[in-house]
Amino acid sequence: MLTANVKKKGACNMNTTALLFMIITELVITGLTFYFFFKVLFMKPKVNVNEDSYFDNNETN
Amino acid sequence: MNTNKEAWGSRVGLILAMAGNAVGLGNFLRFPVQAVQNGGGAFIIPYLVCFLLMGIPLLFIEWSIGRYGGQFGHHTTPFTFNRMGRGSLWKYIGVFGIFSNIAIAAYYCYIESWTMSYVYHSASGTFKGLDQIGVASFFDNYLDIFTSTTCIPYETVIFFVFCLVLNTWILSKGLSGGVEKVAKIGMPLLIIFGIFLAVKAIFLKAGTDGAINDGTVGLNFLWTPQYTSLTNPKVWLAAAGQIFFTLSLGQGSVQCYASYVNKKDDIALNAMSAGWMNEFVEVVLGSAIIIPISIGYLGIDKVIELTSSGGLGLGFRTLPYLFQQWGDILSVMAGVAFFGLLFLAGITSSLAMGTPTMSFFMDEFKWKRSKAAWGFGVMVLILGLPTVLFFQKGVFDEYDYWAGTVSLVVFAMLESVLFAWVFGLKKGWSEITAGADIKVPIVFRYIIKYITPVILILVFFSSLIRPAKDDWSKISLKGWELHHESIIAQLRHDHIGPNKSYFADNFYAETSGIVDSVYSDESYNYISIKKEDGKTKTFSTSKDNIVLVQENDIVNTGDAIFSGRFINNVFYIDMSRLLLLSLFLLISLMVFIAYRKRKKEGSL
Repeated sequence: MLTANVKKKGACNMNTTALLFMIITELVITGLTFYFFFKVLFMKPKVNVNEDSYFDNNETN
Repeated sequence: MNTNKEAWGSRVGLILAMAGNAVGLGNFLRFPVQAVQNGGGAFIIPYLVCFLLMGIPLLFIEWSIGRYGGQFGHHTTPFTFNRMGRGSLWKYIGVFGIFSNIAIAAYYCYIESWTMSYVYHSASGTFKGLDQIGVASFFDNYLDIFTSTTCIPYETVIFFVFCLVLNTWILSKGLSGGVEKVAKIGMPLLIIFGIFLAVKAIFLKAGTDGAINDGTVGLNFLWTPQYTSLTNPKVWLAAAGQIFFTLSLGQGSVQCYASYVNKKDDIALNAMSAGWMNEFVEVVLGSAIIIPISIGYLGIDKVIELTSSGGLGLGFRTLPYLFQQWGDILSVMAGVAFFGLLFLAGITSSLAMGTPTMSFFMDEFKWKRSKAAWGFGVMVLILGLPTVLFFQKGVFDEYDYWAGTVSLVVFAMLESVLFAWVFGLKKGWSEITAGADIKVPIVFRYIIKYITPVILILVFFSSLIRPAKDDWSKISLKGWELHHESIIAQLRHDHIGPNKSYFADNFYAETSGIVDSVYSDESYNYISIKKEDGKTKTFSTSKDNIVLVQENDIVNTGDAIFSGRFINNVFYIDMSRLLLLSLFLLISLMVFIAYRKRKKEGSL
């Protein structure tokens, strides 16, 4: 039963396994999310900006 | 000549729109409930394994199929598949990529309209002073279109139509002018709302504001791993299913968004960025809101009972009451933040569902953007009204099962076979890596070729023959009892019970037990039957029909309990299936007409 490890009150209501599971999973997911998103944000376009898919990049005369 | 001139405004806009497509109501309502029901923290292991072996490969497949089709002016799957498969049947498999979107939008917009309505009711203080039963009854009354919860008559229908018109209007503004703008505002706002609620939930203190547990008790409950669940096929199937829903795979919307990406531009990094952003919202934020708050106030046993019927009930029937415990101002803020967050998650997904249909009309029939958007809106209205009017008759569940579950698995399975084995992985891998801003690990080449199609075939066949009580040891050559949610059992109406005819003069008890109470209100007669396990099941019918039992009578399944004139749920269920089938055939016919047109023009 899941409830076996639950403390009703106290300084820390999470057992070590649950806490580790949560922290490791969330750190990995958050880290990868930010890593890929920042990579996109700071990646320079490889092709001529007027030829890429995004018209906000187009240079106007 | 292709007149479809849609384009994305910026790369970040595309990623936020794609992440918004994936982030939906399921991230907050479905994922935590699935985790609770399937081994707590241990659920995350099969979930992440399925993400790596099925989610990421399918993201690569769908992004590259989309960009490949876009090079030839195909923005939807029928003609992209036709080009990839070089066979007459593939374009009809591609029909799923339009069909699923329309059918899912039909019931998804309805849930979205609930969230919109609950934002209004939270802000206007409707829930103030209501007890827990009052808040739950509010939801039940809301779903009954003839019972107005406010002074607005037919409120449910009005909110649904308003929500659909809003979606259609945004779609008519195009990708960069509508969809992308909503994603750029909606996604950051959703994350801010999510962080606000997660912080409030985690720091919930027992004894404060009526809470009986700390917020961390809920987190402990959710994250404590039950390793034995890892050997249960049910848990793996649930994890694979969750990955489908959460990433909007097998639907055709990812391919459509990606078809507007230039062939020289990256898709690999885009796919990873959008995919992981969805995981962040689901695992980090989704797990930290609904379960910690509800366990904080209701306790673990009550939450287990509430989650057995899914996350929708917990979110709409319970949370508004729990937010009331935080005081006047915070409860309004929390209600607006939670239902606003659900609304934003919903609308960014429903907009993605509209884009393939619009693109199909624009590509194949040269419709203008605005006409295409309103065409989609009308189709969703026609298909969606039955879910609103006959929600309690099972129409909503039928749409969700056939369009929102089975179709996705079938489509993704065939799509992965097409990509890896028919189109060929040599060409497929070139498509994935062309213009890539990251080095895609070579291991994905083998995963895409062998592992992903095998997993998808297994998921499909398991859904087809799923055994009762998910006891896979019962599978034998002599046959076995099927789970009522298995595809074969659904087709055979195994779950219907004794009321199997469309029209009847008697209504038969669908459970055995003792009649607990017989009562009536202005419009309905009710019979509550107490089952052997102590739970009660209530049956209701119009007041014109006669009650045939009394309190304390013993009834068995199949005994007549009402007499009069009845239209049984099976009628509505079969009509919904007929509607869905008609939609699929209608789109297939349009694809056939467009194919002949293209052949004549030599533009295939």
